[in-house]
Amino acid sequence: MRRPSILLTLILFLPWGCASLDPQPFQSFEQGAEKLSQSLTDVEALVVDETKQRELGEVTADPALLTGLRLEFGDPAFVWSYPAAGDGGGLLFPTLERRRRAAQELNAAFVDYAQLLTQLVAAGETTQAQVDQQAGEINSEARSLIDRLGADVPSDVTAFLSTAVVEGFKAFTDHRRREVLRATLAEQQPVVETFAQMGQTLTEDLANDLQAEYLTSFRQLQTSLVAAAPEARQPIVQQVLALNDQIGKNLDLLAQLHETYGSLPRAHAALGRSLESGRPTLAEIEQFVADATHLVTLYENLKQAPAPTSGTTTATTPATTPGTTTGG
Amino acid sequence: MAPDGGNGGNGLAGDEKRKLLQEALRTQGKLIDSELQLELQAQGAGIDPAQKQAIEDQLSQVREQIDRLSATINTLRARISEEWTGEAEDLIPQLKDANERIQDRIREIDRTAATAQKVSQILELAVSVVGLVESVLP
Repeated sequence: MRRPSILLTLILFLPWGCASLDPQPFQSFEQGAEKLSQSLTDVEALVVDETKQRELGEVTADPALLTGLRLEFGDPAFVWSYPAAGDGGGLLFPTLERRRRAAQELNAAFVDYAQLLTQLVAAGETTQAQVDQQAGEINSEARSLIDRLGADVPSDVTAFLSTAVVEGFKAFTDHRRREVLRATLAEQQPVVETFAQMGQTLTEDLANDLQAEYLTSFRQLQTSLVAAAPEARQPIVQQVLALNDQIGKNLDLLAQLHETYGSLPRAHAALGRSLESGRPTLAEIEQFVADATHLVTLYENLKQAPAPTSGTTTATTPATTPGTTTGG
Repeated sequence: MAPDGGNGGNGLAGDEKRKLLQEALRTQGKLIDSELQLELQAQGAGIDPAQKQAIEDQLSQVREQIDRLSATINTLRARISEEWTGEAEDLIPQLKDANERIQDRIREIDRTAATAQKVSQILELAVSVVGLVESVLP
């Protein structure tokens, strides 16, 4: 569950041993995670809609495939998901939906974790009860993510925040000792790297899906082009060029998202280093500002990305055998 | 929804499945190119009936392979994150080798001058890729 970003306006100077902490690196980490969340959702929505429309025809032709669309429910009762791939009756849309929701939960866990860190270093008090509550929500999101991704999660990953890390954050709230927070962040670092890797893997899988959808659309246009009279071919070729532009831009955006996921562990490690030196270096602050600016630009580019068009407006969709697709 | 045991699709096994998917997509692209070439040949003027029949036969094979490869690609996409059985784990070294051979084969086909020979070689490659994908699916 999301909470509004915390706006910091004052920094209180505390005695040595619980010295003042610059919130800027933590705010930058939080802003980066929030922008990532919306960006990935926008991109994945495009692929899912394309696949959904194509597979709608397959289910219409073969009602036996409908079992692949029956939702599954979990505990608590409001937990729902599409079935696992093996139960999907050959449909790809349910798998993409599960992957999309996994990415949303991954980003939610990163955003909430970043907000927890920002709260910890902010002026004012964070109670141990608040740390427990927020850690519980973060780990709930991570459990849901692990369930959705299933086998693609390392077997030793069971939670985003271990008991030791939560206790470390709670101990920090007592005396605000810089060394306690630094050590806790260091312990959390491998987990951040693992979950960031999951994000990169999701973008790679999504890129493969885009390529497969592209070949399907390209082949439909190819078939139309060959069948069309010479004077009617130019619009079809223009559709091919438009398709290339769309896929190319989406793949470029996925590449940037892949890189952004990779930057989160570096940003997280920099938080710990900022605590070692007593204050973050100017270079580290400038780097965080640059990273946040880059993510804002990425988000703006995604909002301007062209909406997907169908593979063709004139092509005749090749007849398909139920349970199979033509052209991938 | 929870994993039901096994080594999972993460790490090396997942990476090799993804590489296989990428090679399968590349092969499918080559098949689609072949389909276009054959369709245009079939429309060509001055082809005798025997030649046209041969082109149509090869076109039929290409289309069949496109459909088979599409089905295996979609299944692999859906199962890329699923558990691998213990037996499938043994395939990882073979998969790595097969992925490299597919890359080499595609480069070799691209250097082949004769169109007819190229289509036959791409068909052979597609058959081997389909077989490979089917062998690694749980």
